[in-house]
Amino acid sequence: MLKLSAAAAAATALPLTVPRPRRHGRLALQGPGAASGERVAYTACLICGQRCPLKVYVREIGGRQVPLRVVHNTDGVHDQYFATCGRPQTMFELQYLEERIRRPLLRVGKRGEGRFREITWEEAFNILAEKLKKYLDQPWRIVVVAHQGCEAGIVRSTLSKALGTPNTTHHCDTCHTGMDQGHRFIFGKTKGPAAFQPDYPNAKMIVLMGRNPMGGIVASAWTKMFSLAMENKAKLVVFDVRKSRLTEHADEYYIIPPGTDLAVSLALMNVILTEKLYDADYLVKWTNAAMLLYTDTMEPVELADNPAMKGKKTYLVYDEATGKYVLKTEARKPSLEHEGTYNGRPVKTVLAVLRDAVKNYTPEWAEKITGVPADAIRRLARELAEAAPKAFIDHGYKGARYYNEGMLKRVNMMINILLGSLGRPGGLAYPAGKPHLVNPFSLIGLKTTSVKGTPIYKYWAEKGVVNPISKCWSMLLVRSIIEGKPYPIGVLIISRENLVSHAIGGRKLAEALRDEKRVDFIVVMDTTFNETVAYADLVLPVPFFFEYESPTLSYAKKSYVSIITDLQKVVDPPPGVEAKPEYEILLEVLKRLGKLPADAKIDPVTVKTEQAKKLGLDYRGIRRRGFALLWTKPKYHPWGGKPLPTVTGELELVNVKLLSEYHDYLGKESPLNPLPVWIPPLWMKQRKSGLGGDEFVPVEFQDQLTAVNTFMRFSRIVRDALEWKKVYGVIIHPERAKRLGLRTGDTVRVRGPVGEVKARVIVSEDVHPVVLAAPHATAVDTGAVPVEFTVETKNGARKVRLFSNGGGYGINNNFLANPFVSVVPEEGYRAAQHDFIVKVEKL
Amino acid sequence: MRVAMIIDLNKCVGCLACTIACIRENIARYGEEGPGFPEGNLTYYARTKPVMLTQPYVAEAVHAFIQCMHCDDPPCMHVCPTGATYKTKDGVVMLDHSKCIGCRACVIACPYGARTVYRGPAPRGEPVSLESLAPGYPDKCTFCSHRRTAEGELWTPACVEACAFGARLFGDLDNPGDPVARMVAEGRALALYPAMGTEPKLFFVPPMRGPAVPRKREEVSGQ
Amino acid sequence: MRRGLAALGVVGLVLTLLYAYAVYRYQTLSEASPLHALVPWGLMVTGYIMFAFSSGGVFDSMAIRLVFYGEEHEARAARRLMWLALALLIPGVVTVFADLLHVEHSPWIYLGFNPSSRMAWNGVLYVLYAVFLLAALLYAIRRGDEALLTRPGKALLVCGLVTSLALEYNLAMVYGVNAAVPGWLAAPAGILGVALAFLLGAAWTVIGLGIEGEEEARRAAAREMTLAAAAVGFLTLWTLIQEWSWGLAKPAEEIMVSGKLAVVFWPAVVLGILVPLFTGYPLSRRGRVAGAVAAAITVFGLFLLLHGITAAGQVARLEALETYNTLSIHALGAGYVDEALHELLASPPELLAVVGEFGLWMLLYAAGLAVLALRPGEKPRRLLVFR
Repeated sequence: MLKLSAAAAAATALPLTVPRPRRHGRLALQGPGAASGERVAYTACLICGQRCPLKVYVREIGGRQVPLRVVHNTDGVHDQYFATCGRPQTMFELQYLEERIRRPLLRVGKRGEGRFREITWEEAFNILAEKLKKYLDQPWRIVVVAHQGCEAGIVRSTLSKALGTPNTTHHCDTCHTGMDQGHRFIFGKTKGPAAFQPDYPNAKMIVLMGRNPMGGIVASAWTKMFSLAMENKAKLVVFDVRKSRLTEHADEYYIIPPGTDLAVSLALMNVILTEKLYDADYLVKWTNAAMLLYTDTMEPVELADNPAMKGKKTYLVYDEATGKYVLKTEARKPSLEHEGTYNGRPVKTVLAVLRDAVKNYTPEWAEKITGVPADAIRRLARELAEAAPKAFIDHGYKGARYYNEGMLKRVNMMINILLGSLGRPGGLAYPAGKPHLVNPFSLIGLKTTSVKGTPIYKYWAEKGVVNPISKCWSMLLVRSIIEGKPYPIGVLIISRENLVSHAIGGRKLAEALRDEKRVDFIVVMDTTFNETVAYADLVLPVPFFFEYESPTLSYAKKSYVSIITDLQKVVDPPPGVEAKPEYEILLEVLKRLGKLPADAKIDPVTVKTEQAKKLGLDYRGIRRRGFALLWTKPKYHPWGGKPLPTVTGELELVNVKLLSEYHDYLGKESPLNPLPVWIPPLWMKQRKSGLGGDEFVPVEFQDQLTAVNTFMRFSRIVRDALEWKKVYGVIIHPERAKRLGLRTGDTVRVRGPVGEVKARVIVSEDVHPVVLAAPHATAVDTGAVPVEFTVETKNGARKVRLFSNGGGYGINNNFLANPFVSVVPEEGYRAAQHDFIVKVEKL
Repeated sequence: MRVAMIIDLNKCVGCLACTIACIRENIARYGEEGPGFPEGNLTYYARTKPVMLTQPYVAEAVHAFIQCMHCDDPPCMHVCPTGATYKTKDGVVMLDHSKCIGCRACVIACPYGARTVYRGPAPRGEPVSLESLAPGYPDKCTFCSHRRTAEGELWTPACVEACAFGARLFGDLDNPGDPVARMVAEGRALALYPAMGTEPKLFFVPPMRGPAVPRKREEVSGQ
Repeated sequence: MRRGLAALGVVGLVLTLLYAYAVYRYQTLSEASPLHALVPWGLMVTGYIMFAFSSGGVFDSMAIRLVFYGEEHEARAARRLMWLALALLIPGVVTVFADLLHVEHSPWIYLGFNPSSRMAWNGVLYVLYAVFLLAALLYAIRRGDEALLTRPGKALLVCGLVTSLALEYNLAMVYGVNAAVPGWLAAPAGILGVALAFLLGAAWTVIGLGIEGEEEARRAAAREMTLAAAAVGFLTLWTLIQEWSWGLAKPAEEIMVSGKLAVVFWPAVVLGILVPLFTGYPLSRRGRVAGAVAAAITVFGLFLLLHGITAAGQVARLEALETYNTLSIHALGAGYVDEALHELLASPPELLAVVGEFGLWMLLYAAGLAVLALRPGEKPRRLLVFR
């Protein structure tokens, strides 16, 4: 009996019941390189969009091709530019997620109910073509939203060119647009996260605000250099709302209330300017710091054509060498802090104007807002100046959390300029360049048509939205869908963009999407079921990036040396998943619309060969290695190499053009104020006397294993890791939890202005008491969006549940915030996704 | 040859590539319906588990990994009645499943918490190697010994291979030219609980704070 | 008497069936829990330690009385006592195997003998002890009780005694000397084990002979309970002092004396040490039943004491070693101590198995008394040993 029961237990183990010597190493693998039976495939990871080159070893095991080893692809020599994080290591699991869409689906029942039936691809192509045909004479009513995947850009541009729609966009306004807009004041045009490269390995001191290169997305290569900085013992100072792996590495960190880093930055600037800690030579040479302004009207005293820089202006300065007012081009020693009278009117240099603009933002003032000791701010400013130019405030990445983030990014960049660190080794360098890749459809005789109609963003610009960015207005799209303006949308094509989860909208958006009058037909192309699929009329399954041969070369997104990557097929989608990549879908649909010859075909290898040729590269080499390096060094130059698109061509500490454009905003707490100014975050404005006992500011963070590609949260590995790390849920400070009677594991209702989610509480000292923090997109407002789907198949109905591996008790701010309030109309209506208040109630 | 591993906590960014690579190589099994996993939290069953350590290096908590230390003088091997836990010529502490009686003395003996016991149902599918997680056995890291190809030659464990940040090094302590041997000899890489006399061969480079240590890397010259 | 034995046998049979069921449940358990590694040694481990100690203790004091003092009344009780020792050893050894996760590989204990492993030596010592015990028993049955007082008889007893003492010491040291389990039983583990064996042995003798047997030997054992209880009390105190004074082991002492295991430890002190110390002998003088009750309480108390120590070491480890601490927090959350204690104290199959272990003893002991030629001077009539 004993033996029997033991045997039963052993039956589940290895078949090793009889004593016998060990069979050692029967299944020996090799170390580096491929073992027998293994093949190597190259691709690049598209889970977050960074496109880190990958080398994948595939082996047949258990009757399937398994991506068994995932290694960062590198040339060895420039290894510091190559890395990959833990996310692509999950690809073996991603393939088999329960949530995968297996066949094309057509909606049955009401939109938003989550009921579909499987159809053939042929049917799907015909349905989509018919719908598009209906709007070909009003192409602006066809709206394309695409971001992730190898060919999102191709989807947008091809559909725009072929159909003539001006309405193509993606989600950057819920991501980094605040930064882009803030930088406009210095560089004369928007500059996003990819425009700079923090020179971590050479830095002596790094200050991080709102950026976590260790846990964030689109970071791996940066992370690698950052880890080199840690190895080199650069001093790291972190301002954040929660403790993390990053704060652990920090020499100093400060947990501050959300959206208040701007106060710290203004105080740092105050100290740098009042104590004259700036790099005077740098400011004179590369910036307009010496430019004289009339103090009364805040206008440049004199601008003149710059003989040395075509199309640029030079300006009047005070020459300390001669004691005269001359043009900068003629001055020997332009004064940086001159104040005097010119033409009988008071004049001041730009730097002096700045100094006065921030003179009230003392460290003591900042301490009151942020809790960071004034002495620490003063000391940090001095330390930054001492370590400069090998010291900088990281320019960051995300800039759509708080209302004041544009100003924050602007002030931080100004500090880097004052320190003379921008474009210097050890400071903030520039990427070497960016390749241009030919659109594959332009190679196969696509019939183009001119773009017609008013784009949605322009309509809203006329209604008072300032500076919308033409490629980047998903929040305005949400507003258009909700309000039905300027026109009802005909066909909304969403490709690998979980719009409902990404954009602030909550129940307002959900309700609008259900209305067929506001949007006639919704097509979603994606890998897995998600919140957006719930509203689709037609669902088209696309493969994961490693399941097909990309029809285009790509480049590592934040590659300051430009790494061309080649996404080759690693493994097929699992049996039963009939996915087709976007380019094949486009090809079939455009043929049916007569936009392509009937025999048009895209051969990915031919396209990539052509693209490589135009870049002066040999594709065979790229194919063999999976990547090519276009340059090998970042640019160290304060302007990034050539004059900037500002009036003066210089870095403008006060932007000449915008100074006149936004003159009315001087003195106002506005992102459009041409001078640095404190702007409180919206939540602070809403609760001047402080938050109520049950009120929090909700903060979503990217964990090391989450990404904007929301399929990651469906992975068992990811769920387990988040649970293991004790971050799956809403993290609340013990002080607040105690008062609310909350303990770890409790379930709470988190109620925002337009929606609510249920969440699990984690009580931890790791967060600021004001904050309620949770990993990105880990909850669904079930009152607005279905989490269960029914698919009618040939073999009966199949149920699919989101979070089938467990989870779903975190947060998603986009279901909670008000799309008309938590936005910044002054910065193109970009989102302020964390800038609102939620109420927490124990269930 | 005495193989050893170093985890540089300065370089480690906590991305968990190592942990997932370990799950893929040693824990998951593979079949027609995709990967099969053990029940429970996968991270726990990974043979290298991320944790927050507060001692003995730093006053403030630091992320580290719990993993078999492949002690030169392994208590788990000493207590094993059947010789199921044994040390290879290369110094890797291994488990011979066919000899293990499941007394858990090794689990008790290990001061590092490096051995787990999974008693749930076997994951569905085929394991990558004979050393994969098997239910009812005191599971442990094998330094991916199944990847070894030849006597006296180093191999690459899955976690080391997956780490793109160079935070994991694998090498030979008997080879003075090996970076691992050098870092250990220089005292840059430290073992956990050295006082226990187990002589671990997994070392950590503890996190170092900026101002405490002079910079040593050559700086890249300017424009 | 016969009816009493039959009743004991029936209860024993029922509990043995329970034991079989519990072992089946334990062996076929399918559950993923970090506790299987964080606190791997549960009630069944304590169960077999206690039965092994008990068997050894019964044999030790009997052998000492015969070999060194030549007590004749003890010789008359010897066959019953040796059967008692065997009936205690069998449930212990069966539980050793029942507790293994891969009993099918157990030949490797001998085939793959690891000399540095105390557990491997246990394997050998169990066998040697069992062989000498069995040989002495057969010798006494075949040659008569007095034969034990002859030179070959004494030789067998001495061999049994030496292996039994070695087994008790070694078994305790398996738990006592372990780098990872600070002060599990601290340095006095081995000697505490031997003392526990004597106390348990005396108590079991009082119970066993209380059922049927020599009054004088029973009273002698009851007197011995007092002495052994004093020794166990002293060594327990010594253990606590050692733990208390050694940093890493301190949590083990704290959790027992004033922590979450105090509810186990203090009752164990009262039942397992104070009861035999103060009531063992007086009650035994009053009568067989009263004596057996005191002894049974003692056995129960000592089981609690042993399990308290076993559990405390494992839980203390989760507190004392940073690696275990962090692992516990990650795997089980902040309430890991409660989880661990629950697993150690209240795992249903293990609890049932321990109860069943007593049943197996009852069944064996009653059956032996009924069919074996164990009475003083009794000659076997059938099949060498049967009456």
